[in-house]
Amino acid sequence: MQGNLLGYDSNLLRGNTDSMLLFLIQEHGESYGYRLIREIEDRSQGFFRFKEGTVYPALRKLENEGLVQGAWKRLDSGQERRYYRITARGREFLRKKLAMWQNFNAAMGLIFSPSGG
Amino acid sequence: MIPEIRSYLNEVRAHLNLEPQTERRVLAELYSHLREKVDELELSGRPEQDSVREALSSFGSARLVGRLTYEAFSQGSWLEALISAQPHLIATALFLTHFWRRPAFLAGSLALLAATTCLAWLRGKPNWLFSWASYVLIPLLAAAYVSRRLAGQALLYLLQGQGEPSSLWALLPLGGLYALSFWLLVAATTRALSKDWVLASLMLLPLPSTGIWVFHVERLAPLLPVVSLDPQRWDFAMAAVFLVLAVVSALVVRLRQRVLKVGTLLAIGSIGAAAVARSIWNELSLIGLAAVGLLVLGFAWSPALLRARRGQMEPESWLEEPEELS
Repeated sequence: MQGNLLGYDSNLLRGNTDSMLLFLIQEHGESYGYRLIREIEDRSQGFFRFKEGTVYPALRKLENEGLVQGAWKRLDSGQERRYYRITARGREFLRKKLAMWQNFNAAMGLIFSPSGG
Repeated sequence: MIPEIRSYLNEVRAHLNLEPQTERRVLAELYSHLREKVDELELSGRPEQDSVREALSSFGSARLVGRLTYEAFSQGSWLEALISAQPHLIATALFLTHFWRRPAFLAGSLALLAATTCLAWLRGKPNWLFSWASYVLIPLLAAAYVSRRLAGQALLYLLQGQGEPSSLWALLPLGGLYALSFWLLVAATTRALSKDWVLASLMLLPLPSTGIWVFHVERLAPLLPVVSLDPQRWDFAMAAVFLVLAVVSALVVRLRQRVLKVGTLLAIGSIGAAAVARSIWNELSLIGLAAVGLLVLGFAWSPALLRARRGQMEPESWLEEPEELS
């Protein structure tokens, strides 16, 4: 996904897009592109903003890697949406990524905290 | 459908270069998103034109979305890249060891290549399939070329009554061989073109060099005794041709960006052909080398022209609903 270059280094977001999408999909049981984008923007209080069309290649990549599974559904309103569910492999991938992120975050926190000396 | 959205999705489609069925699925999903966004903006009180403009603007450029989607679909794993190079490596080994002269080895290798191609064709036509498909076409086309005199004799007897009547017996199997070869060539090329012209080019690339080789081998015939006088010259050159093809195939499958795939195909294909031509014809001048390179370049590029022509004629079939729902 293409990040907002003014707010943060877009490479930081790009490296964590997979985890964000997987986490949100897992949390809802299943989700779709539009909702995922809205949720990322809402949860980050507008910090993460990106071109919405770029979420679909990211979802496709996750699907190709067997981390999510997509299926079309027709809603009562007649509208069609492609919903994504996390797979067992995706859950395992997410678990490792979250652990890695937490360790990384903790280590960065230690470095950036005042030394006290 | 709102004209601006239709036009936007058409532009995305122009950068997708995927199978029509896959393109339909991708565009249907993008349309679903845009429709929902426009509806939401309209509900919040924005006029339709304004909502459409906002929805398209926040979606990103059609070129970017098309390119990223293509990359998500078309990049193969290292294993797929290796599988794609495999038939060329088998051919390289056959020429390096001179085993292509042993009918059992040659037949066994071709049977293995044909069986793998058929299995892959029936199971989803992965991108690596198209480098294997060449090896179903090559023996058929070579057999059709070598048997042309037999067919000529039969036709001469049929049309003018000259020659042996027994030559007529050859006409039926030869007719079948020509029809099968032509049909397979057209069907495989059409199929590859519907996916991506780069794959069609990858499939057709071994044909000119193998064709020149068959032509020379046959001209030096009655076949093997004369060729075996200088086995290394041709066999090493052909091994080099197939090694170059193996590298090109693996890179085309593995590379993510389309521009790199096309660049690799055209650059390594034409430079490799010129280098191999130089090893066969030592006396070949610089102009000759450039001509060989340009010929291969033109040949490798020709599927792109065919694809562009087909693309102009294709209707907007992506407007249909995704087949998973229909």
